[in-house]
Amino acid sequence: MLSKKNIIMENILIGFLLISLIPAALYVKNRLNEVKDGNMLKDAKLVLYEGPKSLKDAAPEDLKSTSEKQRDFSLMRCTDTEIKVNGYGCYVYDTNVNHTRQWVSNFMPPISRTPIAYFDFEEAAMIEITVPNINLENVKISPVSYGLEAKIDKEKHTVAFTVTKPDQYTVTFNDSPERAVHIFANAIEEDPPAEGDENVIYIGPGEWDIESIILEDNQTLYLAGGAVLHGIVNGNYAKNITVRGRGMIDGSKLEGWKGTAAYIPLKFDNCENVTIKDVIVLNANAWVCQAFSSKKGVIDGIKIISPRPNGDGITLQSCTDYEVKNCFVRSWDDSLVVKNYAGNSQNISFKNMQLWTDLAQSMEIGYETNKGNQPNALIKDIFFEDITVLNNFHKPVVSVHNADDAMVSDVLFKNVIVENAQMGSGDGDVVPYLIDMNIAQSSNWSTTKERGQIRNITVENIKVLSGKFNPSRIKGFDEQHTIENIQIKDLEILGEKIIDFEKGKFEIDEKSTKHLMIE
Amino acid sequence: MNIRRGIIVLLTGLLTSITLYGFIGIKEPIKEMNAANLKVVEVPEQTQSMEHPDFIKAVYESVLPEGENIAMHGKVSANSTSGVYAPRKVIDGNVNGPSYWEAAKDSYPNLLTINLKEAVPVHGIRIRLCPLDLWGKRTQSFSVKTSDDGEYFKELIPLKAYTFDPKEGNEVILIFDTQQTQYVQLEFTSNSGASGAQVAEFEIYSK
Repeated sequence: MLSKKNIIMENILIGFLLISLIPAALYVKNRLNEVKDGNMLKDAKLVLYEGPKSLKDAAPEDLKSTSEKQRDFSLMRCTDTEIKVNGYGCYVYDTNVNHTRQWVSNFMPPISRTPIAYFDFEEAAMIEITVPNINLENVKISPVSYGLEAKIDKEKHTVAFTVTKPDQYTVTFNDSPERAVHIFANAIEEDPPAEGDENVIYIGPGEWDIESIILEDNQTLYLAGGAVLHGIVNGNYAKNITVRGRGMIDGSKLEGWKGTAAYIPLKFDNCENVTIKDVIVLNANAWVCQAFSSKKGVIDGIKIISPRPNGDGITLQSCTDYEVKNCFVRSWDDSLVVKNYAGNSQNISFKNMQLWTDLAQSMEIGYETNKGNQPNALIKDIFFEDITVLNNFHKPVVSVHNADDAMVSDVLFKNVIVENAQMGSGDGDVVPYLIDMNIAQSSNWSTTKERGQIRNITVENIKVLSGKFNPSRIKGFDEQHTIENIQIKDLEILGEKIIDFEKGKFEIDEKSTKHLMIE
Repeated sequence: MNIRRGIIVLLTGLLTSITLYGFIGIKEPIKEMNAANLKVVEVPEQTQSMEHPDFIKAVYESVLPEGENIAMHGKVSANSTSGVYAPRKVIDGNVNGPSYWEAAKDSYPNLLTINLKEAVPVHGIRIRLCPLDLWGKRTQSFSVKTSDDGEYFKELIPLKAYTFDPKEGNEVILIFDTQQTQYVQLEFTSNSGASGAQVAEFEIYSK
């Protein structure tokens, strides 16, 4: 018979062996992951783009948060953040962003800077970011739904992670939006046009000044990777035009518009069949990508960062049959906008988008729904699907606003992940809602005397992962101008499933709303 | 042998196997990508931002009609207007920004008339748009008419399509035999760049 002492010893040994298995298994797991990464690396392809040699190196004084009048506002080479992709140095730009959470009436808000980089790859990209000036406590890689694992080396100030899907990635340090790194990891470019191709305006790598390029029927503007174009690209009454390429359009040499002279980098009015693909747009002097009274457009994979007042991201005004997909929009005003400035808006979809809204709303319909004072105005069949909102700092994430007499109907918001909900910051506290549906009369936005209607709005599968649990609002104008047939499904806020309006902190105006459902 | 000893043997074997597999069984991971699969797109040597060679505009100089622009002393009217783009802006000497007349949407014919206050000899006109590239090339069709009383207009130059091109000043200059007239009118029937006629400056020359 075993002695009690032997039994104890054997139990201790079993415990020791069990505990030892854990690091051994972890070691094997890590080694296997390394091998897996290595195997991907073996087949990886990578295209890196040098940045223009004429761009200035950003000095500490260039990083000050101050108005554009008080420091050099130009696009620069980043000097405090290094990025390696598969072991090779990737050019990092330093561009302007805006952390102010309130409107600044003199159009001169303090403006900060942040690093961005881009490259093309196939199979895998092992990204290593070095930030010598940041003590790394924690790191978030967005979209967080991808579950990317960051390897942090606090001593070396490095963050490493591997991506296998071409997409946009944002790395946030220590829960602060300051100096978050935006990485645009594109697929390898397919069939780029060549210099001299018929109907192609070819802008090669380098830093170029052009007043404006006005595209005519059947023309393509190709902006090669490595190009920085200071100027604007517009179309007016044109058909079958394309803007594409990996390069950048930069507005940092223009003064902010201050409510008078807006030079919109991508503006296509009264056009048909416009395709805008992949380009990066920075430092617009006002809003960034506009289509007005245009039809049959595709906006695919463009990246926008706008720091200046009225810096809306993508604004579709009285457009029909538009498809917007795979874009990244960080904006100092509404990120995505649909409104009526002349005729109607119909059949517009936004799909697979990443938004970072520094000011105003992430997804906005209205407020202007009939600025053109047209009879029977409508905004109809508008779809927002698979949207990741990295940050929303100011006003609602989801808004359907009607400040004119149009019928706004058949709008879907589906599969929206809000990583950080901070509605109500600064002067956003006047509309601090997560979801806002409102018929209003506004001295700022109303044109028509009569008020309109809102019908058939579905908000489905919205998840707020972190931040604030703010209220939502459903409020028509009066008993004749109502919001009806609203379905809210699968709403989850900070882990809590919202199955009734009270629990979701909905402010509902009973007399101007009908047929509201939440499940 | 009791169960505990069996577990100890099993765990020892498992630990040894995992450790050996980890150190010997797993091949060394690849740490670098194949350099042949790397492409670096190079940029030209530049010390400062440069005007793109394909967009450097040739110098354009207007050849103005002889004499003086007398339209600025006249009175202008139009049969329609779009928003803030009022007809008075065509005689304010400014072609930039919002300083232009635009007719109401889809309201052709669009008439722009200048009353010179008295009959004077005129022999040329210049129709201008903002010369910036931003005002892309467009075609406007119009005829030129004159009148002594502002009621009955006779055709001076028949309807024709004219190209306004920023490369050529975004202007149209027409010279004609000297006419004694109090009113000069443009009658527009189309504009490929907007839904109504557009004029930033309407100049009338008299010697």
